[in-house]
Order: sequence, then structure tokens, then C-alpha cells
Amino acid sequence: MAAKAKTKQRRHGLIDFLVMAFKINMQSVMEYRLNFIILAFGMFLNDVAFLVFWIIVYGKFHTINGWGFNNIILLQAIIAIGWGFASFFLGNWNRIADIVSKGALDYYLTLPKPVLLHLLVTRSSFAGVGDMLFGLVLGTYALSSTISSIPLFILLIVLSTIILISFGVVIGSLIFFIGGQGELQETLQTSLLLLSTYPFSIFGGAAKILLLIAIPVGFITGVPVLILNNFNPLYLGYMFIATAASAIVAYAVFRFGLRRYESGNAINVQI
Amino acid sequence: METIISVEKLRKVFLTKHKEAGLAGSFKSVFKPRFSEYVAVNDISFDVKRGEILGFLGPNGAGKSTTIKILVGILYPTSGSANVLGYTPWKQRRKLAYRIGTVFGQKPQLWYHLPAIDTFNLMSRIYELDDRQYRKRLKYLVDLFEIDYLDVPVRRLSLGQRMRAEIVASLLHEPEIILLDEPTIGLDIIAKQKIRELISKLNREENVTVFLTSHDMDDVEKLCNRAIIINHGKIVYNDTLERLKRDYVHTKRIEVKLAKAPKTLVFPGAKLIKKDEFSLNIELDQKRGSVSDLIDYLTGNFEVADINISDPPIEEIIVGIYKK
Repeated sequence: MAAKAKTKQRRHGLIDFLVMAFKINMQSVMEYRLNFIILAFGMFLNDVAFLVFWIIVYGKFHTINGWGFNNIILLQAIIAIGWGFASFFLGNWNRIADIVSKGALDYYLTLPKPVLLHLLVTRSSFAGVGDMLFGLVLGTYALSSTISSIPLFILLIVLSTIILISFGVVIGSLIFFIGGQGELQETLQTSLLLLSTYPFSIFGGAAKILLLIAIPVGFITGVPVLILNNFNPLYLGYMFIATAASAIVAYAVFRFGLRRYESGNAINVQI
Repeated sequence: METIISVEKLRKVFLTKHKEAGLAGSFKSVFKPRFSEYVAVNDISFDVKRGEILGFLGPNGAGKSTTIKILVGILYPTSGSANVLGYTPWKQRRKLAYRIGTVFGQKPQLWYHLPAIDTFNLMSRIYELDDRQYRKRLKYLVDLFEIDYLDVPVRRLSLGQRMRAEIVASLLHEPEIILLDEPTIGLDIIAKQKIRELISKLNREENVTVFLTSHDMDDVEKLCNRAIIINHGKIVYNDTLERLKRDYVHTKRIEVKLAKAPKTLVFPGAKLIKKDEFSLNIELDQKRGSVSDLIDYLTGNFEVADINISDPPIEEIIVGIYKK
């Protein structure tokens, strides 16, 4: 009997599982036909409204601490694509604290897949599609005159998105240590989103250090925009280091937190 | 028989925060929080043999769910050891997960808005099953559990239908042990009976070891070879079901709904616990009178509309154990 499970053919690997998880998410989202279209379109409009604010500001001031309107467009493109990607493909990235506080981690812990990955891919928000579309439109506009920077733009988005998701995992995992009901993750992520849409040049001294290390806004939007404006291999190196460090810290905090998981008796359902 | 679950001095302590009632109490607890230790599982030891159906019984808050959560790797224990199929659950959780199945009555695995077949397909990928093998297994289980609602969204299913599908989801990978936490909670009598029959059949046909927690004595009576009773985190009984019934369970509860107001009840061993205008609640000492004779007596002397027979609540059995 012991050998039974081992000899079982395991043809499907992790990729098959991820593809199936994504399909299930799509099926779940599409159960309510109009809902997902409204979500995506609504988020697109929401992003446009936010951009209007900067159009008005830059209508009055041509630069803010050396940052022109094109930089703001690039910055918005990076955060929108990253946030949209995370919400669409790894939809639980910003709900970890809520899941832990409700004892809903039990589901993932009883199944033989890596808990963090399984948790992240078990939800898809269609609002992310609106974000990604908005980001792509802005990115295309901002880079239309410098098409050669598109590969670099894509690379920076990948790195920035990994840092963004890692930040979500770290602050979501804080609940293992300090308890609560998930509001902390929500609040800190809203702060990150707001701060990441401001020109990075307005921050100086201690604020800049804080925004590079504690709330890594600097590496999510600030540094990528600087690299796109004026390529500097040293800055790109910093981006790689920040990405690797964020991912390692996120994984370690989550794994360490799991030891303190207390489950719970709330009734949970897989939506 | 081979021992496949072995637990030694397992202990789990939770830190519980206390606060006085109301807003003032909450305000005070912000500045001066008060914590105490709550021992959910208190140095318990037991073994389970392959092929057994073990009932893990206890009232609410006794430590049943905490124990099962440690055994599947959800929780880390505070101290003690556990070995399930050769693995330490909280250290080798993923390896263990391929060989066990879990059903939590209050934590469904099925996707709420989708038909059960979609969750089954997802499970086949999670457990990395071969497609052909999966289809064959699915057909066998669907027939066995009489699931003729594969394409109906889970939200539209009755609780009993949903629970049958939950059990199927946990059996697709042919686990050697299935751990069920309150699988009959909230179900009506017919649905409970169906679930019990299926678990029993599965044990007979596939020699699957069943570890079942419940606060319902009926579950254990209909299913289990052995019962462990846990109270306040400690094991108070660990022996055969025959001994439990012989030594501690000799009463039955009979609830009778009547079409006309009741007359006086005179039957050997029958004690009237509660009497309403149109109902009687009777406790019968089976050493002094049999259930079938009591039913004959009731139907002969009263206008009976409905009868419900059940075991005494687990709390009473525990009191009996402590008294001995």
C-alpha cells in the first residue's frame, strides 16, 4: 500500500495544475456573465479618472522636481500592469491576511501543492484586466518614440511586479504574528498604491530610504522609471537585488508564519 | 494489524485573549491586554490500525478538530509526537497529503459557484492523477455515492448532496486514510444514514482506514469498531464500541409527537423528561424495557404522529464515564 501512491502515474506537473487553477478561476468568474465585464470596465474608468488628476496638475506645472508628464505616464503604466497582473493571475495576493484570519488556509494545507503558490493562484479578479489594459495603453503611448526600450520596460515590469506581490505576501503574513482581521494588509496596500503613483523625485532623505526599504514603492515604480529615462546598469543591478531579496523575505515570513497558524472554526467556502 | 497512526503525548496550547464586555472592555484591552493559555489538546496518546473505523468523540470544544488538524499537518503541536503513515504531519505535510483524504464538515473543498465536476477535475491536477486512471476512479465513486448532479452548481445542492460530493473529492486519489471532521453536522436523519452507509462500504471495499470526529453518538454506533472519547483535551475513553455501549450507554431518548394531548405514561424504565401539550420526551433505561416494546405501548395507548429515537447526548455519556 505504501508504494501505491508512489507508483501512481503523476503525469501532470505543476504547470498542468496552474493551468487548471486558472481555468477554474475563469469559470467561477464567468458564472455571473455581466459582473466580470463591469468589473474590468469599471477599473479601467477608475484608472482614467486618476490620470485626469495628473493631467490637470501637469497642465499647471510642467515638471515636478524634475519629473515630467511622460514619467508619470510610465509610472502609472508600470503600477497598473503589475497590479492588474497580480490581481488577475494571483488574485489572493492582497487577501492573505483575510484568508488567514478566517481559518481558510486549512484548505490549502490539506492539499499537496506548495501552500503559498496554491493560495495565490486560487482567485482571479477581472478588475485586473482593466488595470492591465490601462497600463498597456499608457505604456504604448509613453514608449511610442523609443520602441527599443520595450524589452527593458517588460523586464522592469516583471521585477516590479515580483516586488509588489512580495510586499503583499509580507504584510499579509504579519497577521500570523500580530493577529487582526486583515485591515492592516488592506491599509498598507492602499498606502503603497497611492505612494507609488507620486513622482519619486518629491521624496527625499529619510522618506526616500523608507520608500526603498520598508514600503518598497521606490523599487516598484521610482527606480524603473529612472532606468527607463536614463539606463544605468547599477540601478538595474539594484532592481535585481531588491527583487530577489523581496521574494526571499516574503517566502520566509510566510513559511515562518505558518508555524503560528491557529486555524479557526469559521465556515469557509471556495468561491 | 499494522499501526498507521501513532500519537504520543500530543499537546496543543493556544494563547487566548480575554476582554471585559462592551466598548469600555475593548478600550481597556487595547492598553492592557490580558492573555491566558488554553490547553486544547492535553498530552493525548493513541494508535490507529490499518482498516479500522475509529470514532473520535467529544462535546464541542473538547479538542477533536484540533487533534485532526495536527494529524493532517494544518497545525503545529506545542509538544509531543505524531506519526501518520510514517510521516510527521507538520513537517512532511505534502508527502502525507498524497496518501490521506480529509473532509471538514464546515470547510468545503468544492467550489461554491461551480458544478462538482469542476472541483473534481481540479483535484485530479492537484494530486497529479493520470487521466485514464482518474476517469475510471471518478466513475466508480460517482456510481458508489450516487452522484447524479455532477453538472449542477454546488450552491444549488442540498447539504447531504454536497457532503457526498465533498467525500468523493477527497477520495479521488485513493487515500489510505480518510479523516472526516464532523461529516454529518447539520444533515437530516436520512442524509446522515446515507453518509454512514457509504463510509462503511468504502471501508469494506477498499480497506480505507477511517478516522471520524463527531459529537453525535449515532455516528459512532452505526459505523465504528472503536471509540475514543475526548473531553477538555484529555482522552477519557479508548476502547471498543461494545464496551462503551455495555458500560455507559444504556438509555435511549424517545421524542414523541402526538395528535392528541398525552395521557399518563406508565412503562418500565421510561422516565418523562419533558411533557408539552402535544409532545413527550422520554428517557428509556434499556436494562428495564426495550425500545420496540415502548413503541408498541405508545402506539397502542396514544395517537402518535411522529417518533424520533436517539442516543443520549455525548455530554451525558462522559458524565457516566467520570462517575465510574
